[in-house]
Amino acid sequence: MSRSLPRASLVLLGLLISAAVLVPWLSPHDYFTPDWDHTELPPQWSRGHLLGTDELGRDLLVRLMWSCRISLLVAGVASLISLVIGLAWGVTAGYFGGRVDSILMRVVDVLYSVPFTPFVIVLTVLFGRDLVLLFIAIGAVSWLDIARVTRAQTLGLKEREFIIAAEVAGLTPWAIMWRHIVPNLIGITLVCLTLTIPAVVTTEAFLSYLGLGAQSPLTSLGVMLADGAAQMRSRPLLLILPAVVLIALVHSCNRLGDALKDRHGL
Amino acid sequence: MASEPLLRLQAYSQVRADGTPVLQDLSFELGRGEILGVVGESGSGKSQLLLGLLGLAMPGSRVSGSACFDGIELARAPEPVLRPLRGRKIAMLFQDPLLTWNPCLTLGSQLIETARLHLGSDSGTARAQVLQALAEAELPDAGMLLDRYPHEISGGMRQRALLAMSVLAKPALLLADEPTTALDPTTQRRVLARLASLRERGMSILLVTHDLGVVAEIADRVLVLQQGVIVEQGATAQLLRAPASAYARTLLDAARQMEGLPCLP
Repeated sequence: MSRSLPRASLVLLGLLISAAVLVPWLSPHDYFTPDWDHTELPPQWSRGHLLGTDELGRDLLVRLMWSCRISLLVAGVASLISLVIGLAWGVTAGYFGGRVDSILMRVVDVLYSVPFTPFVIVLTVLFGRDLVLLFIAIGAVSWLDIARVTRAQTLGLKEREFIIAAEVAGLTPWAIMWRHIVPNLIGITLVCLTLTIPAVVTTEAFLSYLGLGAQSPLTSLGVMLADGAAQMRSRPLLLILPAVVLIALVHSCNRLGDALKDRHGL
Repeated sequence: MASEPLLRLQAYSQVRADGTPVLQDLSFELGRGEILGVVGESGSGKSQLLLGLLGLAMPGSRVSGSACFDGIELARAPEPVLRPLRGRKIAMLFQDPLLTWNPCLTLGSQLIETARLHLGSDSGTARAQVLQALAEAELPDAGMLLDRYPHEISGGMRQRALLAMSVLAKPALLLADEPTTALDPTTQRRVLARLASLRERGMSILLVTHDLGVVAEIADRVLVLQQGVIVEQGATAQLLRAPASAYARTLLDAARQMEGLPCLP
């Protein structure tokens, strides 16, 4: 199976990521300073506001790129957290099997049953609205899928001869898991990661839209969507632009993940 | 045999979790520097015998009787007793070298891992030891081989490198599970020659195979296993020339029909 990767998605993703990374150096404008002389400008090239400005005179393009940056940052960190927890959890459960497996996977089942939005609302009530909290909250939920997938893969891997050979050679369980199982899971975890990232981006946008995520003046795709929705009759562009960026980001990640998934024959 | 045998099984049995017997009442001895061929058709419990000796029988299976290795009782021994033996005192060689190597790691990293684990050496010495072991196994370009992944070299090389890894720690007993089945005749011969030279150095080998040609060539004694029961055992030449049991005769006839039994001693 060597279906080629979707090139358009790769290019789009590359553009969005480089915009997100490079934005502090790309434009003279920043995302938070109001400019009362240039509020609500339409897109115009001459004054340097390529997509116009919002009601506080902040450059829309710059804010979009900053939103990408924050959204991708949250997605990256949360996915990494979930990858580490999920991989460790799943491999341990799958390799030891038996009672260890039952206990670990029942914990996963219980956590699955916790409704996510109320959980985050309770967290914000307890600890205040904070971006770091958002990382933790999302990471704490999205490792469950990775744990399940890696457990299933480990169950198959541990019957393979080279794992039995490693046992026969006297390796400790930890050495077998770390040296011989985890490297064989790289493909699948990569697939999981490309599918987790867009899910986290959507979740982050949803929470920020509700005002539980990034706080003004810090922006994120969810914040911009919420701002835009408030003025969608007068200035639809404020809603359409972040929506397009969100869709592009999520869609290209998903396409990439799907293609990788087919490649690994999952 | 004057000295105490290296491995002695007495009434050794293995029963699966659901009650199916895998091995029944096995009693045999393996002397030091001796090759004992274990023959029998697939499903006769040959491989389970080897894994069982290392304490890796199928989960839930019950073991009874005694299997005494160099003064240590292997049957029912706890994991902390068995693990230090594995690879160091008792090594195992598998049938399919492509499946036995971890596909994600280079041969070198797996060989060096083994050397560090069993010889306790630091990585520099481990590398030297690995190179020496590969040279002893007469593998050409040992240095280049270390950087290769298992799928990048030929099947014969894989198996010979695997054999070199198995005996890296100079174990007293090598459990070989159909080590030549997946190989072409030339490589088969090389591997058998290597096993014979290991025997010269005092290593005992329990050679599981269904290839009577291999047994005839290398084994000192033969044990015929049928559905987990020993039907016959004896010196190779004698057993192959005049098998006493009907089952051994059937096996021999089948082998003769297939290819004609080569080089009967």
